[in-house]
Amino acid sequence: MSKEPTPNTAVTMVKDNDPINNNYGSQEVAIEAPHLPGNYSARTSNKWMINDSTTVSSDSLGRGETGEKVSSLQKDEIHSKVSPFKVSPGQLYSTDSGSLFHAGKLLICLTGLPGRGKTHMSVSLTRYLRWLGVSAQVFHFDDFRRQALKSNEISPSFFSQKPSDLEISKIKETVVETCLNNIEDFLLKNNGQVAIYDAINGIAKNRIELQERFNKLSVKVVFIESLIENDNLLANSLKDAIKSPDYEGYDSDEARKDFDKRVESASDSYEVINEVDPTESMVLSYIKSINFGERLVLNRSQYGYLLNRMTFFLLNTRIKKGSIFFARCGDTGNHKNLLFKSDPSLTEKGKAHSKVMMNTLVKLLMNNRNIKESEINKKLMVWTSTRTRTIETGSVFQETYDIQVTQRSEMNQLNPGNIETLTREEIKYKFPIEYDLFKKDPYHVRFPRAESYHDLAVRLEPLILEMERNTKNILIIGHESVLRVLYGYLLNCSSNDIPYLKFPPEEIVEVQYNAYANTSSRIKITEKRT
Amino acid sequence: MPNYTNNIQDSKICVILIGLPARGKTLIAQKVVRYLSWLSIKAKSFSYDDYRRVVYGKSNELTLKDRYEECYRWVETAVADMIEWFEEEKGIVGVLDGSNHSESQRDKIEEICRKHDIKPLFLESWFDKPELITNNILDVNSNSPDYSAIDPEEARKDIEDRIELYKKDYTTLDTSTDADKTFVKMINIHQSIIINKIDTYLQSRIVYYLMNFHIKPRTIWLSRHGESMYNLEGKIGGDADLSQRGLKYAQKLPEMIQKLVGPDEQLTVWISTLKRTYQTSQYLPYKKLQWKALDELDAGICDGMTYEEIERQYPEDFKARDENKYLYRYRGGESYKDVVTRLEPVIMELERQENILIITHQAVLRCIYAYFMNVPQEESPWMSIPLHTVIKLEPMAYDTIVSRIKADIPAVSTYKEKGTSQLGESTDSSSSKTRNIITSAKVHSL
Repeated sequence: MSKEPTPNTAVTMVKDNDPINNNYGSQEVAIEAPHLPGNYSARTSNKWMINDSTTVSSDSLGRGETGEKVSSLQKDEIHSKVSPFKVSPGQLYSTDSGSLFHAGKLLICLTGLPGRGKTHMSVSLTRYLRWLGVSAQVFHFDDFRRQALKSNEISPSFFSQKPSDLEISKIKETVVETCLNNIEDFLLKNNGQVAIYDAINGIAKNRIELQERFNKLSVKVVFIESLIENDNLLANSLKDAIKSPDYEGYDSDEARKDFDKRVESASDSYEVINEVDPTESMVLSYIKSINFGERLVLNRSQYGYLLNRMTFFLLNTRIKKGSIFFARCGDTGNHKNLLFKSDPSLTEKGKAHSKVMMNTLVKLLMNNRNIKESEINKKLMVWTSTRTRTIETGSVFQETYDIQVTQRSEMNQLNPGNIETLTREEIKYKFPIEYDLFKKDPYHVRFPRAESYHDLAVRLEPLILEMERNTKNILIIGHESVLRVLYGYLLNCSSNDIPYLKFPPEEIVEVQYNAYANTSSRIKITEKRT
Repeated sequence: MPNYTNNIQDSKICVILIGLPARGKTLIAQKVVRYLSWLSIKAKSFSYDDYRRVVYGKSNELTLKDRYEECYRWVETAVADMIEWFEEEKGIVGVLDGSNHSESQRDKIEEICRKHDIKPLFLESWFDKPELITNNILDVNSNSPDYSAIDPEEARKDIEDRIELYKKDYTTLDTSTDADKTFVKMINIHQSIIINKIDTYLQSRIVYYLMNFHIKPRTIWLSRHGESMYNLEGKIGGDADLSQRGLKYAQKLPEMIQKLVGPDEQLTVWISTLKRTYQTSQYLPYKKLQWKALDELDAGICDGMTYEEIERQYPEDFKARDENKYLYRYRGGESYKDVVTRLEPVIMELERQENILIITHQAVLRCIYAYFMNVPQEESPWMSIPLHTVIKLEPMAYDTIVSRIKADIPAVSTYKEKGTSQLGESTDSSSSKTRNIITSAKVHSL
């Protein structure tokens, strides 16, 4: 070589940890003297940031044992702020800044008339992103509006996209500004990566301005417009819309009347995102979702991995009204000898228990969800793992009500590996390294030949998307480890909590879908007729 | 995303490509098949052109009109072969690579699929930008086996004539008349995409992949980091600095790469978060991105040990790893399968980008290489990827061209064969499980 090259400092280097582009030049690195004994250059960057202060004393080694710390049912955490220490269940690795995939920062703006499922879509998108470990937050315009104005003070003309009343338009402007300022703070000051703005956004000019405003801040903007072309779907969606907190204490007819006026007021001035007019189609990045994902139209939305992952999610998600029920299988005799590979049948007691479980669930669906007994098989489906005991527990549903029972091989339990038959003391003695790590981070630790909860969560992703796609009620009969992970997805639990969730065999746990936040409850399995 | 291998027995899919000649159909078909295979999903492409070539050979004796009329014959044969493949080899995704431009022909294929419980997914590539069409014609011209022995100008004329001919009864997919079909219509590749009635997870995975790639020609450069202190000592993992020879490689890299890539070509360098890749890239005058996902396979408690030490301290683990290297997971560490899972965002981003140089580690490179070259799981962890060598990958419609460029700077071998803890590649090829990744490739020297 003719001359020694020097490190090139004019070139940008973007770290995995940088939120967007923290430009800094490369620097020359001195080479140190080698041949020191042992692992003198051990890795310092771990796949996971483990918070050293959290030491958990509970035992939850994936064998369904009783933990010391019994987690009560959680509330849906989807609207709480993301803690920088939180590691999400489906996350592949963590970075110091919390940004992932070199995907930059994104603002997703929902667009659509009232009653088009925007809130539902924005919340479920946030749920999926957070599951992937992306720092995402949803901003509902209506929440900010409710803070500024009491619900009963709002006239339908407030929803017009071009309100003629000057005072209304002034208040609206202030609310929008507060909302957007909050979004800016989240993205630029609080390590946020994706903000989701749930509002009508019905004026073309405003949409373009919104895009320009955030582009200047190096935030990419994508609009997702929800359109419904099917009358049945629309009628159903409008029926759901009046469950909004605005109508708390309203009679349902009254609420419907008022809501129709809002829709009307918004429709008068609403401008659909124009696919032909170049001022909009050549400038905006948008996704149109027609009939809740039945058809998607993507325009100039090649913004990278993260957005494509969201589109992938939109292809799979549907508007859901029912519930997911979680249940354990019935008794199989001597539990002490139940190994990972053993596949026993239910005992008579277990079979009887399955019937009682079914009756409890059917009663609930009939009494509290207004489902006719003859229509149960149209409104409920059952998923089991491929283990005999769960199949047998599910089969009573097929026999009694002709309900579709599907076996899911993804649902097989967490593999306990070499700790399967060991007691806690034995584990501590035989695998001290893993045991220490386990106490700090039970979600990610693998014992030899075992799966961690994280492994389980990653392999359950197809099932989670299947859950998103389904509009019926689903009863999931499975091992506690699997139920923990699926439940953790639905309620946005932190990975630290998932190994401690409790699903005792004598209860059914219900998670009810709701546009704004899911709710969960426990149902005692009992023979008692009411 | 997970490697999706289970529970797909009930959803067989036939991807039916639609589009005029020179719309990137073959490239799309090949890429979809490669992606699915990497995820361990059985997939195969059935190209009408291949059937014609078998009968008539490369050089076309047939007149244009004959060829056009004949083309329906190949459709029937291809569909029949595909059905047989679904049934006998338990295929999951079959791809019909041809123009499928007439509606009646598509209806026929759809009917056959439905009869065999196969879900049709139509995939149309539609261009209306003249410059894009011209580029693609040039590309077909230089890559298609049909035109390998023909004057380029003549070939271009032939493709254009074919396009005109096919246009006659070409029906494009329409959101109103085809509203009930499952389809994807890509307009100018990614400018606009219409996705209709996707109803299974696997279909959505295919669509997701389609959204991520482009069909522009590009080159991917792969290199391991320069020789490190740990390499010298035979230690695995860790976060060691480069050795003197490793640093020499880093210093030579800019000259090498610039010569190979060309002085005005754009290039982005991807490195891992470990020191040795950064040190290797430090003199390169290009933009650099650091990815945690590109970090070396985590050896867990064996991190910083030599293979001999591992064999001594953890004999069972040592043996288990040799038996199934793809699935073996170091205690507290990772398996190759884990690496493939975490590489998914990298692969997708790689598909979206143009010229990229990746400087990373042996196991990670094996996984990336396996994706581009369709190497099966049993072999990929045993491939030899030497130090101080740049690998050039040029993905084409029909195959990926590989070449290897040696930097001519000595380095230790870090290759470990099955059943031994000694490093170095055996010269006895009969006992070796080594897959020399560049068996048929050209070896360039600078």
